[in-house]
Amino acid sequence: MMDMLPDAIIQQILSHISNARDVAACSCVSKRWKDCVPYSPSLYFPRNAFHSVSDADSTISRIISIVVHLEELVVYCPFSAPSLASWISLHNSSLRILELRMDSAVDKFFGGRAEGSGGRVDCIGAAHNLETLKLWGVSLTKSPSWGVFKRLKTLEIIGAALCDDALKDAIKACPNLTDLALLACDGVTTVSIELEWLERCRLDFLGPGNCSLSVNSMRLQVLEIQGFSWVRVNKKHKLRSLCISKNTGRLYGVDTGKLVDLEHLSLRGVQWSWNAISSVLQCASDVKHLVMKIEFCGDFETLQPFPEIDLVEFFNNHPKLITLEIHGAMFAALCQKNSLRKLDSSFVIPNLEEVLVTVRSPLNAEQKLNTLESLVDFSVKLRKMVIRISQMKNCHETADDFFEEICRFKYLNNDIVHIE
Amino acid sequence: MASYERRKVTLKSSDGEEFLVEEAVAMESRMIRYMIWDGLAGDVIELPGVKGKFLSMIIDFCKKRVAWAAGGDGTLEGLKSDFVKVDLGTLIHLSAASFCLKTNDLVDLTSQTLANRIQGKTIDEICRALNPEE
Repeated sequence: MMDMLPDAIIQQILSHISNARDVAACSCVSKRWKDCVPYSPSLYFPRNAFHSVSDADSTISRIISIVVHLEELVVYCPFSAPSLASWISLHNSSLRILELRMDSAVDKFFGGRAEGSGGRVDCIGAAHNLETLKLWGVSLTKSPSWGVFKRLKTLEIIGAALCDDALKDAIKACPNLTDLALLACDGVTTVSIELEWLERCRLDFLGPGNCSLSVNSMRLQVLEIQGFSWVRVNKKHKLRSLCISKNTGRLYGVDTGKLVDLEHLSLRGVQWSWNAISSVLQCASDVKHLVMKIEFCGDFETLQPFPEIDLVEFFNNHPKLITLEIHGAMFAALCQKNSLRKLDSSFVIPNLEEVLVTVRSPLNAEQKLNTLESLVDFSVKLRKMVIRISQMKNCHETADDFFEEICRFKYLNNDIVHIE
Repeated sequence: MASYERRKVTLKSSDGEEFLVEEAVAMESRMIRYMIWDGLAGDVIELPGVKGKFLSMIIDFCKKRVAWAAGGDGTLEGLKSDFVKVDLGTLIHLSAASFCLKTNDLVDLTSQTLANRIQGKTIDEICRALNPEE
């Protein structure tokens, strides 16, 4: 019955099977199937595919040597660096997609993680038609000698130890990138990205240190970054979505130029300089979706509370806001101005539909409730307001009063307000 | 365009079953399409490589697909997933028949489905699955 299937169909079936275990199984089904395996375009070797590195090396080498036109290679199991070089050289023209877990790569000659192992990734340069490259756990502390990957559109490096020069040279080797992601990496102090075709960029650098970022990419649409103290984005860009976080340490300055196309803005962190916050907000006057979750401001070691943010001014400056998420101390700062008493009768919050507010402390309860009420009263399109009460210290007597007031507020606005 | 849509043609399977279908439906098969364009097709087109049971299933799919393209209900994904809701033996026959008729997207669909069903199986399981009569 199996013999009914023409070779072309067997080859097509195999082209949909990339897990190496399945490919190996299929090659044992019959001679015809074995003869069709060489046409598999993609191979995937999962994490626990083999018992030892030498097992992996020999089996992967065997399978790779019988495949004629390998386009995609994904290796998650431990392998040795010299073997990688031979696999790539066998298919250096056809390889389009390459994904490797380098943290398990062992240098055969030194029996362990080699120092400054730029050498381990050098052999990747032979795959000159690569379109996607994804490296896990690589140590890129020496500039890789890659030449130029003219076709490389997507580069992802995850969990890497880097250094400034090595990173700069790695990026220089990929001038036509449209997607760049450097996640859970560390070891850099200055990152400078100049890529003409870059559209999406995600950077996540670990550690509380003062890292600085400069991006110059006129086609940039999405930028998501974490871990930088200084951020500069050349004003020629097309940013639609911008997320800036600093999970540890301080963020001192952000310079982006006018964010004309920006629809999504997210600001998160422990401590930002107030100048940085206000300059971004000022540049993002057309933003539609805003998330603000910063705990403190201040330019130095001392954590400062936020200065007052005038509610009327804020919404007048951001008239296109559709959704707003605002947490703890920043929400508290939104409450404190007296201008709530002297509201202009023509004031309206024209587009706001959804609000999420997190309240941490029961202090200044009356002002907070006034703000919530104003949001409901002046937002003509408001459909949903969620109030999250988190980590409130119950030993404070005012906490109970606050809860009571919030519940009454919810009761009065039952269809819009929810409490979590 | 309108004139050939309503013309009908008879497709004859290897075991003698005959199916009268609209030309537009028959042309979903590249092999039949080129035969008609080259003027090599009579009123009856013989298909010695395809048994009646499977030809009927493929014709059924093609009819539904032509109707969907003309603005019918449902989704193409739904049509495709219904087509492959069959046992492995039938799937193999359908795959071979699609290949013979050169209905390329059915070839893709059936081979992808076969691949999905083979994945994760041991060699023995694959052999048994691909040879259900043995």
